[in-house]
Amino acid sequence: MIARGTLVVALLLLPEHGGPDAIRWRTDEAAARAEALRSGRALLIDAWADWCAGCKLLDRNTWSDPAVRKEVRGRFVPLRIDVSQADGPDEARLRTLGVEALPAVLLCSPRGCDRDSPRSVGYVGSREMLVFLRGPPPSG
Amino acid sequence: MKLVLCTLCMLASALSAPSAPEARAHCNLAALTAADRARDQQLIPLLAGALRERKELQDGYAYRFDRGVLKELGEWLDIEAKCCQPLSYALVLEPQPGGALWVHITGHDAKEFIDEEFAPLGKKLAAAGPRR
Repeated sequence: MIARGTLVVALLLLPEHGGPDAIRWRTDEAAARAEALRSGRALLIDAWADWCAGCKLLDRNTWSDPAVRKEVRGRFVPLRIDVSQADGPDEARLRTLGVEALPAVLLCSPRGCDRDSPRSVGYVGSREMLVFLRGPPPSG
Repeated sequence: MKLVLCTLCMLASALSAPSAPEARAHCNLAALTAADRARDQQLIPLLAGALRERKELQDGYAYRFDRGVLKELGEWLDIEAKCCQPLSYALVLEPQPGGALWVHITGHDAKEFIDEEFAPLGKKLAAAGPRR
């Protein structure tokens, strides 16, 4: 029984299960914004879709990087907007933010995002992502 | 001398700089209509069944197909090129009769993206043997 329990814990710690340090993406924008306001941390939006190759690469190579995870955990409230389903309200929301391509990562002030929010478009590895995350903070 | 050094520095900096945001491989969110997406889903299994070889290129991959899917391949490339940018798509039909049908998909700093994006095409090939 102990061995089985150990195995379960070990499996949960494997990278494909996210591990204890995995980025906990929020999916409710209003709640994420409220959390950002409360904590004073900036909002980090990951515009994502299951048909987007660059999004999968970001998950596999960039968001899984310990340095990137640490940066995100320490400074941001991470929010994922999933537009896997075409023409839904989330896609419309992304359009209001001027997002026209995926993957797109936006840095927003705790008060929210707009078309001028700093963004990284296209797949980037962890080194470039860290430069972006450590860049000028979002205004507003 | 100073000018030469300066030029060399600028060149080195340009070569080592990360891709400019507009040059990074990405999926165009608004490019495909619902009909395009549906057709893409129909074409992928058909083309995957006709894929015979995948070759690595310096900045992408080359895929060899059965000659019989030329028309569908053209249709599929038309859809993909609207969505996956800024990549180059080259359709190569070697001298007929008998020449092979190739698609070369390449892009600056986009090899990993191309590998991931077109993985569904090569699934049968990968299952059949070591990845080429």
